[in-house]
Amino acid sequence: MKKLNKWVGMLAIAAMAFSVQSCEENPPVDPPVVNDKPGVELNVAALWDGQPLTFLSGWFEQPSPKKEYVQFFNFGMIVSKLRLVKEDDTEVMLGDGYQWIDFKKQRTKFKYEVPVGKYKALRFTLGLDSAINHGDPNQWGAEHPLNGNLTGMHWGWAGGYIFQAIDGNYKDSLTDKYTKGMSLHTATDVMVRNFEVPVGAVLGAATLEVKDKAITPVQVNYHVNRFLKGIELKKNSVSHSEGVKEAAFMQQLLGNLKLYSAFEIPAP
Amino acid sequence: MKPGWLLLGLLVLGFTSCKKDPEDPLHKIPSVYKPTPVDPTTIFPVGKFGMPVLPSDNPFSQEGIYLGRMLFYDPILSFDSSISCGSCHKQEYAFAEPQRLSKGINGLQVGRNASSLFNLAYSRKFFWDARQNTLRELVFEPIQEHNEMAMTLPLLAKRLARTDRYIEYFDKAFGSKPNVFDMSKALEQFLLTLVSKDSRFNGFFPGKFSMLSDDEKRGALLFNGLVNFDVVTGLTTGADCFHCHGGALAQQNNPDMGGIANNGLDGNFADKGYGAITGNPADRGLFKTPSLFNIAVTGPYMHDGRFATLDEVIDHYSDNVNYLSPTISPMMAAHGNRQLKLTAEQKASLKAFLMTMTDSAFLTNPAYSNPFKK
Repeated sequence: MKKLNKWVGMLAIAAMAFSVQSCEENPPVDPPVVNDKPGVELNVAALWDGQPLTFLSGWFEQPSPKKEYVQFFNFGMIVSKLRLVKEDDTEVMLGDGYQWIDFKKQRTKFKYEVPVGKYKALRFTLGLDSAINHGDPNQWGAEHPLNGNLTGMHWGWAGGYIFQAIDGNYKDSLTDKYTKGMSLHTATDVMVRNFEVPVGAVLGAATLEVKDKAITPVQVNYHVNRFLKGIELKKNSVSHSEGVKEAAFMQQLLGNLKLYSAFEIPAP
Repeated sequence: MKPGWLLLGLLVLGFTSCKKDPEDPLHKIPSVYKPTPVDPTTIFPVGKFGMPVLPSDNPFSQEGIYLGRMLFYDPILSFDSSISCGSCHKQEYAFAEPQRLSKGINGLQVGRNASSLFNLAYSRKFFWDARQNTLRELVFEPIQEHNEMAMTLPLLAKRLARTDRYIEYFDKAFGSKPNVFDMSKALEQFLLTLVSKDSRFNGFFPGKFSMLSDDEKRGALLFNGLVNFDVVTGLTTGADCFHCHGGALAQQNNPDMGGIANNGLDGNFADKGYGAITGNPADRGLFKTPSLFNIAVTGPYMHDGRFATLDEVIDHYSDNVNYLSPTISPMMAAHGNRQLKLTAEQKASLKAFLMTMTDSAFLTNPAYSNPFKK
């Protein structure tokens, strides 16, 4: 009998524990991620000599004859006609093709549904068609990449968007206490540029394969040091893409993007 | 008692004890309430400013907005019931006040100038030091600050709960008894409705020059022109105000595009501003860049109210920018660190253009006024 009472006592303790425990709601568990459709995730990275670009910390040595040093404060881009290119050269538009990339805010990852297949390149336009560029910026939804209030990439006054805004500071030397501003704003219809970024070093050298029910990562690197290659900031550190001198300077910078292959998709 | 009955009793307890107490207000089933929805497109001038991103869990209702308005003007939100939000944020001054630094209960001084309040739906950072991201969180700060309203939330909850108008309106707006969480949502709704959109600038933007006088036109061109020194006269044709105060809202909404900046006031920072929030030395001396709407009535100016008049502000940007300030905005330092040296005529034109941003309809809109005043 004593043995039986012992068992009943243990059962009673277990029941009490159950009554206390069962009041706690089960913590929410995220359901397992199931990709029921094929897709890609673009991860756009700003790099300086292969290292991640940082903001308001550290000074990067400028690749020019004068050893100047730059520090970044802000870096945003507006792109359009963002599309992947299949092996047979047909294109697949990613979303509606528009995207706002902001490296400082780390708005750099974008998921899209795309058909299964092999893709050899990414194509995009830095900037916008004239009609969109000068259209009503209020036509876009609150969270659309072209909503100027969201991005700060539309100043309205000039009737257009800023396609790329890079702001920061530079110094003549690391011991220089006198910080000077760098403000490189790409805008106006004549500064729109189209890019084709092959997967791997050259077009056709490699492909990205998108499989069913899977998200394929696509790493897109922007080598910012190549954009600024050969630029002596002491002579030129400001451009708003307008006026003879500033427009010519911006043309040179945009030329660097292609000349030095500033955009790159490493082979998988 | 037989052990078997004890066991059975405990098992029954195990199954029944999870039922929520019907009297527990946190698990209260909402009463029947029918808030009157308000379409955001009737609040925001989408054609002028676009549609803002709004909190998805706090839809506008007539009852919610009115409740927020009552709370904004109600001194019972302060410890000694002496001041309300509206005591330092006065409608006729675009919800700023003509004091260098505001005063809280018992005359205690607040550390910064009272910010103006309008078009908040288009902002993503709040307070001079940009420390808050939502209006809902923001409202708790002045209510609890010892040198502002010095209230405690438990005491405030009690006060609200024993006030008939709040018992009625919390139920109407949220189907709840008065509580501080729904209080913050009601205040958020009211604050979001403060929309300034009817100044002459709003009619002019983005370039109907025929609406401006010649003087204002010259000011508009200076405001929106890039700094460019004429090689012959040495005068600049642009003052480049628009980089930080540009667009239809005369403000930069992107915190990283001039929305938070050091405008060259100081070389050493008595008030570290945003840097005190982030702890990053590179953020020291950065403050939120305000919209210039209603600038004629929002003085004194700057985070510490150091400039009493608009003329002093223009003088600062023209002649006294501290380019050695270690965190000065790149967009200001991009001028070659050269003072603009505007002429007296240029300064007057710039001021004339700024005066077009006064929205008298906003300053007198009865929908924003103190509902307790008859």
